[in-house]
Amino acid sequence: MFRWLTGLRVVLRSAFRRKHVEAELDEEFQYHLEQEITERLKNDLAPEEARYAAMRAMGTISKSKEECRDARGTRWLEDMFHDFRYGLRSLRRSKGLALGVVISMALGVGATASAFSLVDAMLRPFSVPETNRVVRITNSTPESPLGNFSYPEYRDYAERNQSFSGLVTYHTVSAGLAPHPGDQPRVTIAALVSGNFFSTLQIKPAIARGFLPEEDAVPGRDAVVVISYAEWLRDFGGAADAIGRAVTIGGHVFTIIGVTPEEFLGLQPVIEPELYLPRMMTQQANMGLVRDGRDMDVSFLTDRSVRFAGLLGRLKPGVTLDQAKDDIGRIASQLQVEHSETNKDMKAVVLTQSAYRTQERPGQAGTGITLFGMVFLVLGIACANVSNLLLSTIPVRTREMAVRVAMGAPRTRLIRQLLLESSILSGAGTLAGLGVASWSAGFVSSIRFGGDLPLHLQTRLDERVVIFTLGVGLISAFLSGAIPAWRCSRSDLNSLLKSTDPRNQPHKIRGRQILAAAQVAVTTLVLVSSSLSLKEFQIAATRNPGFRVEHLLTMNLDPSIAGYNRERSRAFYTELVAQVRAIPGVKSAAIAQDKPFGFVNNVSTNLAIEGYALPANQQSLEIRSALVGNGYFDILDIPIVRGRAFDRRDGVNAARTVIVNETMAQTYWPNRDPIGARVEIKEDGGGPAEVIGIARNSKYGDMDERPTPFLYRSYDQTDETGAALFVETDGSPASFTSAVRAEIRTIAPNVGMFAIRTMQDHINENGLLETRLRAQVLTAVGTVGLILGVLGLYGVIAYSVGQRTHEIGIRMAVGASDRQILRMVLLQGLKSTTIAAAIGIVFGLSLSRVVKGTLTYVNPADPAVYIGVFILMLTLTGAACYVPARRASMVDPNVTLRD
Amino acid sequence: MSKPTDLVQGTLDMLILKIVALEPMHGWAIAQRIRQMSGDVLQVGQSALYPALHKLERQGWIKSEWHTSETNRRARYYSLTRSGRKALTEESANWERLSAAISCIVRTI
Repeated sequence: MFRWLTGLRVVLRSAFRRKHVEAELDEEFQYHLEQEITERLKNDLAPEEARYAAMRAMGTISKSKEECRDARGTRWLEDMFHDFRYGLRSLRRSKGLALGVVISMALGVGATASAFSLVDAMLRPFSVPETNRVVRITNSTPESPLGNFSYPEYRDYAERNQSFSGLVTYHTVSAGLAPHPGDQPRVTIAALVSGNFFSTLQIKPAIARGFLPEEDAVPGRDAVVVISYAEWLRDFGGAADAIGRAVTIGGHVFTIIGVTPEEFLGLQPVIEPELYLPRMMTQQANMGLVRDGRDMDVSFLTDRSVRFAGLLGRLKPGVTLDQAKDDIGRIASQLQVEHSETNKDMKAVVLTQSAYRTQERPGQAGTGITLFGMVFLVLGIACANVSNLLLSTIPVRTREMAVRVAMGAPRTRLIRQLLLESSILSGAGTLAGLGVASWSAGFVSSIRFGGDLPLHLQTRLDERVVIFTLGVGLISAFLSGAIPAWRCSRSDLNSLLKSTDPRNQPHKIRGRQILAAAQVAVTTLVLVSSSLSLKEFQIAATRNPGFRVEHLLTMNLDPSIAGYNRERSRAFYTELVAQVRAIPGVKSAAIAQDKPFGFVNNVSTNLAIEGYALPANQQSLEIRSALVGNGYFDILDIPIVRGRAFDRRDGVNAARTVIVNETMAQTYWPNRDPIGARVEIKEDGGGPAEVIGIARNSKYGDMDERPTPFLYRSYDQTDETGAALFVETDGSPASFTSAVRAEIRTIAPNVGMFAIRTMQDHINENGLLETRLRAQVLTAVGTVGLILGVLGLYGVIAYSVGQRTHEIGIRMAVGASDRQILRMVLLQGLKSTTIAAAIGIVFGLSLSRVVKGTLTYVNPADPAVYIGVFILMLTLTGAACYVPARRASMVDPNVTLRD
Repeated sequence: MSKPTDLVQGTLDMLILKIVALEPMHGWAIAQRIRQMSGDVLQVGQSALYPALHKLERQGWIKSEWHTSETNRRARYYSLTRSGRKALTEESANWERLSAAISCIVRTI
């Protein structure tokens, strides 16, 4: 141990105090020489003679010194320093090259790292200790394999299981939050969790504490809240005195008892709750649920069919996933027998976090594979660029290398020198790539999907992304540096040193041309992929959702956070609609519970249809539904094909009425007229309702959905207080935002307002979320690939023209016109790039199966896309060839031939 | 007369360790001492001596310090480290066995 320390000291001393060590070496040998002289003087030699004799006896000192340096074992280190300095010097001489390499690497590595952080954000497990022991449990029926649990079911599983150290429930709701007294409430997302949430998942609060089990025991008793780290910074500036403060949530006062740790962002990839509340406070937190004057509704505590809670568990130490599956399956079978009316076909399934994520979004795998495929291709293009740039320095460097070889430098030393230089460049490129990735992660994370709501992709530059990026950089550096280094050091000494101008060497440029052609092919492939997703988005965006999109301004309103009861909010809406209609330029206004493609829209209504018998295996009929106000069908331009729309006759005290869509009419009244038919809305208690109209089918929750039975109920006949306002305007709807907002503030200053945007923006954000995101990401990757590919091609052509100046000069001297030269160079370039682009197209066609899963409207072999990409590639590669070709045609034979 | 280069590989290292085990010594003195102690049979030139010294120092078997010599000049003195002492014991034992074995063979033939 001690011995190695001494050795290390010697190495470090030689490396870092080189001058000092050298001086010591000189002094040591000098002393030896003096001793030899003294010895000879004793033998009565004359001083001069003694000196010469001593020197003769000692032999060549410089060689011994060299051996001493070698013996100290620091040679490689000293050489490395030397090479490094030398490398920096030679790079400083070719700044353009260095810049090209660094930019190529930065884009290639940056794109790869960004893709990694994006996929990581979708697949990253929960940030809790021993996260692989935390699993999802779902209530599974053939129709909905990832169903939630009711509270009584949760109790059964929690009490009867033997495999989990704890089961927790979790579900998210929107809630109105006023962080400080007197604040306007804003709408955010709250997670309602069981009392053991923090302890079982082992989430250590950043400050203070999580919930105690007894704080989730009595409905409505413990008004405590744990706020998220982001919310803590946002409204309390990260101050410790936030603990104990009172905040208003859903019109109720809660006390802050803790802050979640920074790394914990919730249990879903996109939804990042700002508030964590005990499940027993569901009624208080969830806006619009507490109805005026009524007793608190705690039926969810006993109703086995009200299933809204997601279930998670932490496996006991030593329990395997299979054991847990058996255990939970056993309880599910018990419940099937005990509660046949609610749990008849209900199976419970234990899923790992990643299995749950994949089942939740099956299309994601295809997108991930496409994305990674593309970024690796782009990285390949970038590496080829770097390789090509380094290869272009060969003629200059070979001569330098030849001189060094001639002076005795070993070949390994030269290869090392070249690899070191490309490492310096790649290192800088990788760091820049990390910067690109950091920027893109921040950018993607800042895209809010739900307007003001904390819905975003949680991309971040964590240690895994950094390690991945450094790894990618290292591999790219090696891949792009190895060939040039090997080629350069392999050069033929004699012929080189004999030649006067190294540029006249008939250097093989073939390898570089093949590389450039491959780049063109790969760029074509990347472009095909991104064009397909872009076209998919464009088609989806212009598809008619079945309702009006233009000239509409929409927003959500929440009067409950201002303490409005049902009657008061009704009066507010009536006045609001009248006042907004009076704004000049507004054509009409209407309300509904929510917008199509909205956040709380599309709840299912439990329904019984007179004259329709349920199939034997079905216990109840759930139909997706919306609560809409008068004028809704008019303002959204949804035609009523038969019967009538809701109007004044469908008020709160009138007989219940409903409107069905075409699919529902065809499905449940196949052979008769639904108008006048009766249905029973189970949860309402308002008795039977009459079908008064049939509405044209439209899209309700998603642009991609298939025609589905849909039920409209009259908003006035329900207990809802929250609503969406629709305003139809002349001209640009966005320009009416402030007028409408001012109107609302005048009528009701404290009503919550959120998600104020045009219908078009709303659809783009919500109905096309995934398609849009995919199109944006893949287009960005495609653009990066295109830039790199075209620049790379330009570099190669320009270089080859530079190489051929002499030859072109001769051609011109013997009579070729500049047009002929232009044609020649252009055609030679275009010949190979056309073939390469065609190869890319063929590859794209054969790989179209991979992207098929991510495309709904676009044929993966869509000829227009392929032809378009082919033409684009020809144009751009043509331009990349034209510039150098033009330069070639301007060669002056008088000048080039004299050189 | 045996030249240093003819010394069995590693033997010079052992000789140096043996010499500096007696007392800290500078390079020239080490060479002199080897010559004297071997009765002028072994002459170690600087070309072999100094690389060996530097190698032994890197290996951590000897360490060097600058002192004033008997002639009132600054000189680099080498001395044995603890691990050098251990190495010397091992090397000497090895040498004993090896030379005994060689002598044995040489005598019997």
